[in-house]
Amino acid sequence: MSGKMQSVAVAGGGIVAWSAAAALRRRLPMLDVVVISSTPPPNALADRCANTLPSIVEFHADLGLSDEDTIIRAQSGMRLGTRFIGWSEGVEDYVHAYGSYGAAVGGIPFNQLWLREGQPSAYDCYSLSAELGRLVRFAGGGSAEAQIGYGLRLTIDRYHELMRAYALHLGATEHPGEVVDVELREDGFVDAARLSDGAQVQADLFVDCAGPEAAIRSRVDDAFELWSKWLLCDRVDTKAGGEESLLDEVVAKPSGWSSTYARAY
Amino acid sequence: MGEREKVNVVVVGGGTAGWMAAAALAKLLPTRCTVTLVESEAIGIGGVGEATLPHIRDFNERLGINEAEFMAATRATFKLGIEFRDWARKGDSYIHPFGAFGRGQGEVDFHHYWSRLREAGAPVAPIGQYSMAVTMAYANRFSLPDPDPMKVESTFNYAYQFDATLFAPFLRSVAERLGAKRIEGRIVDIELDGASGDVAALKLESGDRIAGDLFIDCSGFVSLVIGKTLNEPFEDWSKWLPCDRAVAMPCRTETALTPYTSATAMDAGWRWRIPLQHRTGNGYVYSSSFISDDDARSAIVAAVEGDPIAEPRVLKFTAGRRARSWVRNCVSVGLASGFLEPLESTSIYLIQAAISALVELFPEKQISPIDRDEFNRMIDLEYDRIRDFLILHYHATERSDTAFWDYVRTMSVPDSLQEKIDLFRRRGRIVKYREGVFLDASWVAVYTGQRIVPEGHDYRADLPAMDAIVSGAEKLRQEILAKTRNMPDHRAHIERYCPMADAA
Repeated sequence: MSGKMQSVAVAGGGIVAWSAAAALRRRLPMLDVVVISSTPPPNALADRCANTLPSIVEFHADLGLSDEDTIIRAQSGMRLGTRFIGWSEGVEDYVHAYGSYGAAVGGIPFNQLWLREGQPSAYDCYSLSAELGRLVRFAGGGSAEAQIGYGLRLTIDRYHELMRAYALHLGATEHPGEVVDVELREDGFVDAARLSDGAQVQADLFVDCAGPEAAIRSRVDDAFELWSKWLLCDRVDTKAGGEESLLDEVVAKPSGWSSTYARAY
Repeated sequence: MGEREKVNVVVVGGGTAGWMAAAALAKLLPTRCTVTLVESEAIGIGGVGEATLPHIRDFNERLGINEAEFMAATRATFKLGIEFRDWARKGDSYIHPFGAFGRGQGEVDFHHYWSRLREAGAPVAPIGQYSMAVTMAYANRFSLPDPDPMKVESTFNYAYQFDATLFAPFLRSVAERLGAKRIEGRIVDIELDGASGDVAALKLESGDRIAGDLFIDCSGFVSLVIGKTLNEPFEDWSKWLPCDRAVAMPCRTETALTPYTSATAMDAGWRWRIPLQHRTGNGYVYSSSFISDDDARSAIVAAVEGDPIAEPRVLKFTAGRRARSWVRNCVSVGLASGFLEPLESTSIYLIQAAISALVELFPEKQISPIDRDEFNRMIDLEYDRIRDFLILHYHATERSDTAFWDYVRTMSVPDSLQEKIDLFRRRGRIVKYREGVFLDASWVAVYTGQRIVPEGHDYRADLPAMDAIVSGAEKLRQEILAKTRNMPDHRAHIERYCPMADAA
């Protein structure tokens, strides 16, 4: 084996890049991590979409970030799931909730019991998260029988500040600039990223978090698996607004869907 | 859905597979099916003393079987793992334990820290000394696992070693109590429905005709329904698993009653040793391409530790499985569906996996191909994973002292196994499963036991200071030793907990 990996360059300046940098420094502090930071482009939705899944709670725990940091100081809200409105005929809405639905009895999964009983109520009626979400109430934890799951609704600017500060605190460094080109080695691996100001950043490993243009990754090869025959939507129109809520609403529309990403509650 | 008509299930054959299936269906789906089992006393049970995996405890629990009663009835002993001797090199030995290495709680698996110590040349013991199950096994001690997950005495699991010829009758009484019906008789013909080609009925020597909706083929190697009648092809795996015979010979137990099964490599295969309460089972699994039956017989006679209790008996088999285990209205369970040598005690596990999948996907009278295909996917996955795990034992060797070992050492292995080996060798990574048997610790045990040493480790294991890992590992080793010393001797525990009735 050749020598160990020593340096990592993370391209992108949004929450994606700073989360990656923080995680790398937290778990693999022997690495030098530099973030080549720039403002995320408008189509970098992962840097702009404030809704996250319950997995983010574990991610924070792994990073050593507390609820005080990620919820109170970063002004995040809870989200218990998503309410889909108008997606199937005859069903006004349903909630895709986090956490458990019903409880198994004697090893028989709950969904089987629900089917056996002839679906007495909509499936989401058996989810504590869904019910709390509809009532706009929240309680942590739940019980063994009814477990709550929640993701966070981020206040992007605050969360970005938190993740950047934390990554820097853990020893990541920042190099402001936009990647305009890359230098490839003879074997096709990336040797260095060239920035708009003419500077070059060399590293053993490059992590491209710079959005769909993929300034680094796309130079290695341009292979892309197109899934648009199944997922037809290819435009998004965003507006500010939204009310405080624990559920996000996703409303089916004639040519796609619209969502009100509720403000952090 | 309303009232559905009960499915009439006919179980073909009354060995371990047949009675396990009958008991499980009668217990778990009493409103969905009736169970009739056809067996002939003239045909013996194929089993030769059985070593099991911990999963059997779930099966027994679901059937409401009392552990001590079951152990007494089958003259069972406890099993903490399997000892492998002479596999990678003559003189080597290791235990594949039922349980974790380390405390099994860290984010990074213990073996990564262990690898780091090895790479650095720091003081480190063989990995088995950091396993509660391995340490207990070598000390011949046993007590039940502690339910408190914070204690190191909770980090092991256990199975049983029992007499298979007693297990089937034990289950028969359970199944009959639950309402399964038994018919004594020899099957002389199988009647297919002219229009559909499905199995319609069994015809017995007595002239009786046993009709049914769903037939569970538990006829053993004969594979009476799925093989002989429905002609489902058999996928032959003998190029990877060349052993095709076993010669079995029970003997009196002369040495310690070990809470583990032993598998010792031999010139043309391997030999099992399974200690039961009243005797020790022995057998030599070998390849007839590399040794004659006579030489294999002499080898087992020479190897056993005590006076033989019976004459050596030869069994023939081929490694592989039916292309599909469920065809039309016939579900094959156990040896009728396939065979993998008992190196990792998987025979009963595979029976159990098939029964569980059948219970979960139990059909209506009109069988849906969607249920059938999902069943076959699940069962194929089980077989194929175990196949790879077994091949690993043979292939991960440095032995070339006999033609047999030279063959298995140099044979090409399935890609699915080669990828797993490469991944471990590279940096100790185990391919993750979400379902199925043999999880991380099992693979770690066999890789490290057979000299496949990782060249690196998970970088996250570099975080703690070296001396903290050295002292932490040593503290753990000492704690495991101390807790083991406090446990009762295996035989003493059995005599208190589940002694067999005096043998007739």
